[in-house]
Amino acid sequence: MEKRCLRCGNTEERYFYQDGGTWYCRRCVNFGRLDVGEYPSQKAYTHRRCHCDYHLTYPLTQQQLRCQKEILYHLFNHRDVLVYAACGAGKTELVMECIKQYLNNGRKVGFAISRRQVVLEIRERMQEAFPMLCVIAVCEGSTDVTDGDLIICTMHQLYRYYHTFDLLIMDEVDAFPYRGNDMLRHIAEDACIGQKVYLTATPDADMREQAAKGKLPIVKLFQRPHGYPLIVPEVVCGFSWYQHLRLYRFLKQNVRDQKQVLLFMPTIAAARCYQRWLSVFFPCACITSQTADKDTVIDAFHQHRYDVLLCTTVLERGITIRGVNVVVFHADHKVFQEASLIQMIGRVGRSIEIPSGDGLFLCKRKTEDIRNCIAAIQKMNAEETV
Amino acid sequence: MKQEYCLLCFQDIEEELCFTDWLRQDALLCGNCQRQLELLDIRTRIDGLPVRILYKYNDFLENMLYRYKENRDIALRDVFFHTHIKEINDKYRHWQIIIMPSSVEKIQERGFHHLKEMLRLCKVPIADPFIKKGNRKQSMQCPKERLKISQYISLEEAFHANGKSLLLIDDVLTTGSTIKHAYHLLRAHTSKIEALVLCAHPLFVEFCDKN
Repeated sequence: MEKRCLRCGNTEERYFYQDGGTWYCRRCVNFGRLDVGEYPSQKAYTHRRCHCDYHLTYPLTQQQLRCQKEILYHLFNHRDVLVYAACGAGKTELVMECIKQYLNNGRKVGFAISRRQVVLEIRERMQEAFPMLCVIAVCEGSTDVTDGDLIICTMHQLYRYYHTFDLLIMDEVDAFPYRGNDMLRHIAEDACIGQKVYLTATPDADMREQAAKGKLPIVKLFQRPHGYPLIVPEVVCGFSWYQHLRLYRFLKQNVRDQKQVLLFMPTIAAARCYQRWLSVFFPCACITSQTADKDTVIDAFHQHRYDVLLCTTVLERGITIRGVNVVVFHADHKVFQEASLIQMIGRVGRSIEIPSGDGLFLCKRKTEDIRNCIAAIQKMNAEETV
Repeated sequence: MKQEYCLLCFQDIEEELCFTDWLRQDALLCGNCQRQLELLDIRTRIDGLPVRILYKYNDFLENMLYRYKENRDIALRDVFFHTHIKEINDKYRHWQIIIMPSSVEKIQERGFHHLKEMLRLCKVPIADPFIKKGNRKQSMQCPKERLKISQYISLEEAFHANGKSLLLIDDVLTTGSTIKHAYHLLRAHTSKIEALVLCAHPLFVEFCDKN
């Protein structure tokens, strides 16, 4: 008989291990051991009918209101929704309306995101918008309280919520670690007994296909709230020495204009190495996935204590820095895929006060990913004006 | 039977394997995981008891122990002493191994005694003569509370060393109070006692280095 894990859906033989007479799945053992044949335990979470409303300090645009209505329409028809919105278009605001509607009906709502840092940021924003609710963040280092009116968690923490959510919103579904992770997908699907909303700025081929077939309704929003178009990066191809010259020139120019720069590097080693080199010329810091105190470095950058922040793809999503410009060094490196490039350039011009900026891709040659990225941005800008 | 894939990350076992492991073909972890274990092999003394520490209790080992003990992933049992089991079998052939106790509740909850399973392939006789009262986790206690361990651990009255030398084995050493207390209880029974711990807390290692 084929063995099957009822939590993560694993059927691959090598992930199973026999202890005494029982088998258990080792693929998801980090969530606590579950023997084959057992269902994950279903905890009783509170269902409070709360009459809440959200308050924003700024009004939503016509486009955003239209999207909210479309999302609600699909959800009430019991369908999952894919929200395809440009970086900085206000995806979080779009789902507030449906969160409100579900909560007012006494249903359970969850919001899952890939990374821990963004969980904490979204929790703050949701708490500000819904001051009367108990909004909790569940992520590594914050798991003492797991029940509240509105639960914001990482994708991994969804294992706690087997058959719990009537509405599950999943942000950045195209990002690591959710993308292509069969185990997490399974756990997420089991956590939701109602509808799901996927939010993304860069849907993968699989999702686009589903949307094209009409299986997954799609709601598009490409206009940023301030109405300015997305920034199309300048692509500079050249030899390595030329790339270095252009990099120096770009940084010098920005520092003179008192603008901050996010400099994306393909590898951790490169980020560290260039930080040492560039700190001769500019005050700069470096963030990689191995940096222990990311929050303090980002705070310092927010306070303009550095002019240049070198980072790997860890900072490609979720982060908003006022008036920042972006350089991608070695943009032709294989870690920079289309989705990453779109996200990175999406860091520019997110605030209402400084809605424009510059982006620069430095590379030896234009790869397919770079071309697709530019084409996708231009398409979004074109559709927005329609 | 040869392990085909890494017990921790499920990669092909020959991934980044060091030369000797590749030659011996008995590795349980791939090279990437193996390298994250920090081998110390320190010999020190606690109250006159010779203690040998194998690894540093780093994040990697902490996660691995958590997965084994709390998430009950028994498949990892052979990994911990894998590189030293042969040496233990040879060097302590005529000795008696004494493992540090777990409370009855914890063993029931877990379904196995973590140290007994870790030493499954050990040919030296293993005894578990201590009784631990209550489900008190030493790791949850502050240093001062840890010293009160003597109230919780006692020795079986029927215990007899039969003139053998004793080797005390524990998984994590933080302040050393558990093993110190065990040493005091056993000292009257035999002339020679040594201790072997899988890993020690970095602070303890630092303390060892200073002395």
